[in-house]
Amino acid sequence: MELRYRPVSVVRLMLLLLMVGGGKWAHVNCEGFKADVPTHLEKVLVNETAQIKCDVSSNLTNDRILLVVWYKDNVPIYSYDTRGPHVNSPSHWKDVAILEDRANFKTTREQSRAVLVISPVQKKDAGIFRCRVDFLLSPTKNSNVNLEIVVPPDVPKIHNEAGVVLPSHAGPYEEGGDLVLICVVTGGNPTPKITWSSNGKTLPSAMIDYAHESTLSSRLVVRNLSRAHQHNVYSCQASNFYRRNVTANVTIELRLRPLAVEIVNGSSPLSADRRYIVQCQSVGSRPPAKITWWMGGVQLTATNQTTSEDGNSTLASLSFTPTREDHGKTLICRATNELVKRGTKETSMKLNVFYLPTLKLELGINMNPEDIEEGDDVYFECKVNANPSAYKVVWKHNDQVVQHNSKSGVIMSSTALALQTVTRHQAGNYTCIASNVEGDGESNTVDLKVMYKPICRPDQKKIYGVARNEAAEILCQVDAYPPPESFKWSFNNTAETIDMPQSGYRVHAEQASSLTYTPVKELDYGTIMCWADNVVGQQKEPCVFHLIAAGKPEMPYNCSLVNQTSESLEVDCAEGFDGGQRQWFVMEIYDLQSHALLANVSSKLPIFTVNGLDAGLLLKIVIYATNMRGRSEPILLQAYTLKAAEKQTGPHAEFELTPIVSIGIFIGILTVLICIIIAVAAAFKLRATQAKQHTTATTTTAGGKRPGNLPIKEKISLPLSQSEDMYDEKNPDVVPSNEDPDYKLISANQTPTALHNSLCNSKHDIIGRTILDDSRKTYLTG
Amino acid sequence: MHKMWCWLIVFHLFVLYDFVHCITLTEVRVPKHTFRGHAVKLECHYDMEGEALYSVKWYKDGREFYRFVPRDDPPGSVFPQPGIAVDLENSTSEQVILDPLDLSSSGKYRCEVSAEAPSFQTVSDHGEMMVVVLPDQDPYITGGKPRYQIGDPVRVNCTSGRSKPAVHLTWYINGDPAEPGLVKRYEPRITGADKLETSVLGLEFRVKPKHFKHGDMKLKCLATISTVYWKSNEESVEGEKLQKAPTLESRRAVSADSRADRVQAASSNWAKESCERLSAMQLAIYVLILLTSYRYTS
Repeated sequence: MELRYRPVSVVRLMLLLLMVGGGKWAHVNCEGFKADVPTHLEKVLVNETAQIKCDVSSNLTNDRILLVVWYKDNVPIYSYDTRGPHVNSPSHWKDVAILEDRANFKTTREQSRAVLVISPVQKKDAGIFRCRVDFLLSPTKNSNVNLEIVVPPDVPKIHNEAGVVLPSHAGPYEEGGDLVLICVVTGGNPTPKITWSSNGKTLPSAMIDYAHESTLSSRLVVRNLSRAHQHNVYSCQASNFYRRNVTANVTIELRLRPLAVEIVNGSSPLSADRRYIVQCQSVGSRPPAKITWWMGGVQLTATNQTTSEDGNSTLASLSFTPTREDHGKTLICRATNELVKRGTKETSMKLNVFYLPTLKLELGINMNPEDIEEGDDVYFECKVNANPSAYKVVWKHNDQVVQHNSKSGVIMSSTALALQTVTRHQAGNYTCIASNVEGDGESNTVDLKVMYKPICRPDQKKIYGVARNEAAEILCQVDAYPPPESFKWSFNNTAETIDMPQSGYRVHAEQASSLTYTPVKELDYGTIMCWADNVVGQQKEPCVFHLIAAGKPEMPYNCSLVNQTSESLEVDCAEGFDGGQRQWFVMEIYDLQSHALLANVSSKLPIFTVNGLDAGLLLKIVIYATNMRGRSEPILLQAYTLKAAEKQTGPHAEFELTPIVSIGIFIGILTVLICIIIAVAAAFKLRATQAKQHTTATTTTAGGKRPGNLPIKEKISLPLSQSEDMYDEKNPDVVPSNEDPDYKLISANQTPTALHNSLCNSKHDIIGRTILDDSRKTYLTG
Repeated sequence: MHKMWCWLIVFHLFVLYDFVHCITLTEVRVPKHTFRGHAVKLECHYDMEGEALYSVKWYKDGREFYRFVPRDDPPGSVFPQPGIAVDLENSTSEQVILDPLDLSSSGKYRCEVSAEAPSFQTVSDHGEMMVVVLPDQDPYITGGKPRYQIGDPVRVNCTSGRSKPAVHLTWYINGDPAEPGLVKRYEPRITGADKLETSVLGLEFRVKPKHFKHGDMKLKCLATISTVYWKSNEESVEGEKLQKAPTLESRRAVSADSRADRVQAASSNWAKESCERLSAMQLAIYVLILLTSYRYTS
């Protein structure tokens, strides 16, 4: 035993005292087997399980392990002894001071592999582990394992330049500025490496400087931040072992100018006075832009705006009712981010507002509306204000559309209307109407006043019948503009013309004058004339009145049976001359057989309706006019009331298109075609003869021109032909056929159609119901 | 309070008890150089400090070749490997005889001593041994001229005999080591089945007046193998300026005969212990400190 004084040991002893209860401090000052046997590095995370391998294999067949000793830094810490008494139950020994209860040596049954399991491993377990295996036959095997205990670093903290820990979302940062991030990593053994990355790319700009022991920091600088950096995630990863990385992330938020502003739905034209919602979208502003609307330098009322979930786009709606005045104005949508410089972006839209045409109608500039006489040229100007432009302008005169007619001097364009040599008929209310997609706009009304000399009003009583010494009140009515200023009357008979004294007449209204005239002797009857005059001049043609001696009225004419049933009749006539006095009319109905008076009807007009007659009667009708002077000649008609069964047209048989019927139709059509050809030929011939007779015909009978006065239409039975409908349609004047030959009367007044019918249906009878008295007088107005 | 201190002392003594039984490696003797065909004795001396010996193992380059386990019968066993020929009869727990040595016997020899169960306290140390084959021939100089004038080029080679390891050659000019720029090195030539090496070293320079300071110029080639071989050859050249007849002297230098140094375990100055141990002195100091502190606290 050496008894050397060793000061180093004394110092250690003192340390031991201070520590109180520290473990063994076994120490060997030699390199041991580290240099002789290759050393494998084994890294294990602290608190996990270390499996330290040991080579226990032997090449010899009858060999076996005798003893395994584990050394840590050359100090035995574990033994596995199978010698002697332990051959069946190996003895495990471990240094509890070092391994506590955490270690166990395990071998496979075949003793091919063996490991020392330490669980959980602690930081102090780091060191060189040697296992020495003593075999029965083979030489001893030593295996070295350098056990490194990896203590992961704490989760890194990302600071800003001022040393303030950043939250997971940092910012906002200025666009164009720099981003400086400092990653601080504490702890970790071995010293961790810090790497910065973003979007999976390692950022080379990271540089490491050591702040103080066990704390590392890495500084990342990103220059010239742009929109592309928005929401970038920067990760700081601290790593000292491939199996465990700790990472801190920071997502950066930038302040960004609005990138684009767009009016979303404002491209199409707008209709005036309709409410629209115009939307404007701003994209790319951070924080979201504030959107304002401007028109003509005036801010429009605030609208609500919504921001998308990701905050990237903002949509503002403007509720807005454009007026026609807004057309052509510019609507501006302005997105503003007040937090950044030059943070305003705007877009504008020129409003295209469609509106109803507004029109202004005026007489031509040089025209005096109060001084237009017949024969002057007049023109109107129609000023149209419309968007879109009117596609049509229509002119109206007294609500009637004016037609262009250059022959009669009506010349139109879309903006002007010219009336050449205007007549009094063209006076009245004028408007112009323009149309576009929004509708029709109507102008103001311009009343065109055309001055003309008085003219006699045509529809006034021209013949006055009075007895001698009876006063006649003659009314002279004229048309004139401006109204007549004075009237003049004169009397004319075969002998002389006398102007009437002013006292004899009076100006009735503005447009009329009345003369009271009492004939005393024969010569007092004659013609009375009346003239009016106004600013324009004196009436050219006087109003002419005939004063005649009052007499009986003339008989009515042109009587026809307009309605006929089984119990009623309606008869219309035209009234004849009233004999110069008021007349009324009487109709008497007699039974043709018994001559009994069945009805007596009087009326102011020659229109009669009689009800309550018996059915199926043959009747004689007597019609005459009457006045104070007596009755006219009677006009006689024959008629009948319908039989009860004949009242209605019988229902048509169900029409079936059997082959026989089809053949019948075919034959019928053929027949009709032939008839038409014949009829047309006949008509041409007839017309030629009529044209010759025309002059005399007008003088003889007015009824000759009125073929339509036989309106009663009844069923005509055509036993062999199915084509009755065709005849019916073509000839509304067909009267009911009756088998009784007594009723066979042929219209005295055959029309071409009637002729046609008679030609085609020669077998059938056509009955004219009216017997015209050809002898009746016609009255000719002077 | 008193009791507590007493217990503390007892506890400390208990803890220290372990350290008393520490085995120590006193000396491991491995000669640094040995000669092919000779025998060598490797020694391993230890102090079990009362522990039972489990094993003494000898490793060459990490591979066990000799084991002495007292419980085995016979206690000594050999694991053959190239270059190891154990004389088992003369090998004991404290020494191993290798006989004969081969060139492949060179290596790192480690002695490992383990105590018995359960902890198998273990100490070990090692030494490097090199097996040397001395040159069969002294170094000789070739290419020298009998006479040199100032400005003449000198081009000479020194060649050693075959050896292992290669002989280290050095040139001296007038007794001073030649400047490195004048020396031309060649790779040793390897010849023969035993792969012995022949060293060649060139010397090239132009003659300058300073080389003739003492009338003549001496070129010496020294051949060494570590400390076990040391031989030189020297040639003397006359300058022209001397009217004497030129002579070329070549003399065998003061022959340092090769000798094998006794190599001791390199680390013999270290105390090889299995653990930190407490000497009686240390124990005394320890108790003294404890008592002092007890007095002060009470």
